[in-house]
Amino acid sequence: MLTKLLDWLSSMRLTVWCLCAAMVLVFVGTLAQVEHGLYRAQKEYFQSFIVFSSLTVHFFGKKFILPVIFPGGYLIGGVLVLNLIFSQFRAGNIVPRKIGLYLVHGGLILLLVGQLITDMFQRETHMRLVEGQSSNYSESAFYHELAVMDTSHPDYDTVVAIPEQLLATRSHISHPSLPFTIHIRKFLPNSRLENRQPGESSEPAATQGIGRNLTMREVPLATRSDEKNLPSAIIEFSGNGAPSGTWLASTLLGQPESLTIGGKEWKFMFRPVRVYKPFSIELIKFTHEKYPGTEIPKNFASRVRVINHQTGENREVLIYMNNPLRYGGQTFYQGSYDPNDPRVSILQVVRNPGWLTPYIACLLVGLGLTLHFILTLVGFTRAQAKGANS
Amino acid sequence: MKRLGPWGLMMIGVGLLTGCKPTEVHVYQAPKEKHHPPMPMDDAHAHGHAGMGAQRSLSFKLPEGWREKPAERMRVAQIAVPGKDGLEAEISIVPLAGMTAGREDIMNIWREQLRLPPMEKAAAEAAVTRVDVGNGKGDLYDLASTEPLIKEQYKMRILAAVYELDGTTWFVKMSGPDEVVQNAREPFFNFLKSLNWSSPSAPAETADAPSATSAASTASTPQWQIPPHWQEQKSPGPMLTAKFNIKDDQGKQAEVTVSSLAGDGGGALPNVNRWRGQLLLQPVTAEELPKLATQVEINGRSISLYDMEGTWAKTGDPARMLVLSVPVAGQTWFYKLTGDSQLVAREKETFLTFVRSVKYPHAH
Repeated sequence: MLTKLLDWLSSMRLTVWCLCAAMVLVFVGTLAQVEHGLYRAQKEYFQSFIVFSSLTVHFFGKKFILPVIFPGGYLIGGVLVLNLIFSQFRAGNIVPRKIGLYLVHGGLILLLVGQLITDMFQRETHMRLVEGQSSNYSESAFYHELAVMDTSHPDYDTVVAIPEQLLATRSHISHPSLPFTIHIRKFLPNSRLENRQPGESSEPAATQGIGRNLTMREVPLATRSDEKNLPSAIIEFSGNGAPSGTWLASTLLGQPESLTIGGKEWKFMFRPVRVYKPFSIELIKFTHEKYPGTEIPKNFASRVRVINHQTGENREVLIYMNNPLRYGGQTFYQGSYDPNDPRVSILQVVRNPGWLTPYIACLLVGLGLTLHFILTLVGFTRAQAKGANS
Repeated sequence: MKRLGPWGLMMIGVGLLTGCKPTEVHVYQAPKEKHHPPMPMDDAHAHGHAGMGAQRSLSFKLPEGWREKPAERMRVAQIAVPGKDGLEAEISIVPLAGMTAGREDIMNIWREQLRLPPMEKAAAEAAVTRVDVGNGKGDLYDLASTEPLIKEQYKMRILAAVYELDGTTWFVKMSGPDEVVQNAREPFFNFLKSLNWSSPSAPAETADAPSATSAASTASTPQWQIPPHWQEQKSPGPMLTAKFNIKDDQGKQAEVTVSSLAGDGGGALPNVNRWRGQLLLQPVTAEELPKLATQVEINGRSISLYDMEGTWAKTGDPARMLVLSVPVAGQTWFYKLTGDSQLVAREKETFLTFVRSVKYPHAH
């Protein structure tokens, strides 16, 4: 049984199946991006073992919803890695003259595993800076957190960061650092807020804070790559003398709300997940050039200062397209700009522990192909010489 | 189990790795941060545009039956427009300085309020018509919901004029039940025509063009020596006593404005932060304020000169601003030179000479 399994795992047939399945997955996943958006399509099709999804197809003016059940990216990639390993390194198959091929396969395996590491551990955030401003944190483009802040210390705030996912799935949240319980009365994964219109009969979003003047409504999840979901929640605090009533926590509000609980001032804010750094980046100057007469960007450059009090570092760096700053295990790319404020630069901050793997993999593949070519050539010339001698 | 060994291991491994999503509560200490005062959300909140507009300096004629209500938040006026069956529409007037939103943005903000899908730029441009506002012309937006949004019975309509005046965009918006707004169309257009932005503090306009060395004409305004290459603007705009335009040979531009307020004019810090906002600069604290000022001599007195460089919200171009606030006889006079950085640098001495030349009517 085991032999059969190993035979199957090391077979060329499985390689072909995997490659065909990968092609189909890429094709269908690309189509799904139109309907579900880049982020959801990536999650459902490529960052999963099995795809359970649907695809809307228009055929002769009629709309059909096709169920999609298919091996996901992790499954196809995983099987392909096993296939590469078993096809080359099965007991009894190892031959010194095939060292080039082993290196090539090793490189391919490293490429796939490196991609998995990137997928699992890469963290991509953004740092928005106005000229003259410095920041020691970057923010996630996708994930949000409810930051509940104890502001009683004069030098710093103690932040209890509750991920959006917990707000979406739990009815209440308690934590040892919080002397009260937060009850989640309503959670909208993508929302809009509006001023209450004259004569409008709808209820205000909340009974306390700014939510008294606003209404909240759910909107469909964002599908376009230039849109993002803006969740909101209605929460309530209980215990330790917390004021009664509901509060609106929304990523659409740019300010924290304040309340007093247990004689202490607390603030809360629903905001993008923040990643704090042990150093600061200050934007000195942002240059934003466009092609004359158009809105097409020609060149962006951010002159920044890296300030690290731990190491005493204080130096200027120019970040521009294809010339990122690599610092503290993170890479700062020139990401974007604010069309409404020419002094704003948006840096893309990427932490990817697997960033070297594609380079090493390519080196291995190149080395393997060269070795394989040389060894084959040597064998061939020897055989030729032998034939000539005989 | 044995057969599924490698698969199982792989799945468990990947499963463990996927567990590293942000699903746990984290506690950390973060440096305190300053939050700027909230910008009240309003009909034209328009996603973070720079600063609020001027103070109310307009008058209007209310059609019969309309009644003015106390203005809330950013509004300078709020008017109730009665309809049948106790229904009511509302008119709000909101000024925004340094607005950068285009017609498409404005249209889509209001379409979103009416739960309509967004419009493409070309369609939005085509849907906007022109309307008489005061002595000028503004954009007219007319849009209605397809669903009953008011009391779940009545469709909602927005009829709004957007009018540009001296760098401030004025939003005059009527919203409410479709039928009420439709019936009030003509009175609304008459109301728009009646809007008048005359400034009580502006000098009276005279038929004669001011000469290069003439003084401002009214007795209550100071007298000054105008540099020959400064062009005085006949209508300086709301809240301004005088305004001068400067242009060099290369087409670079700057402007000098003169205004006054009673007392200390609200204090240095809020004023400096307001000016910094006009240059899209971050606000400063009271501790940082003295570092920004240099002292200059104006007629034997030491006066703070604030020198700021940023991006002018009005034009989007890099700009420098020099401001002097001169307290005189219970008033504070503000002299502001704003424009192209190089031109402002060249004009600095002329500007100081101008301020030194001012003779105040009640100063003695």
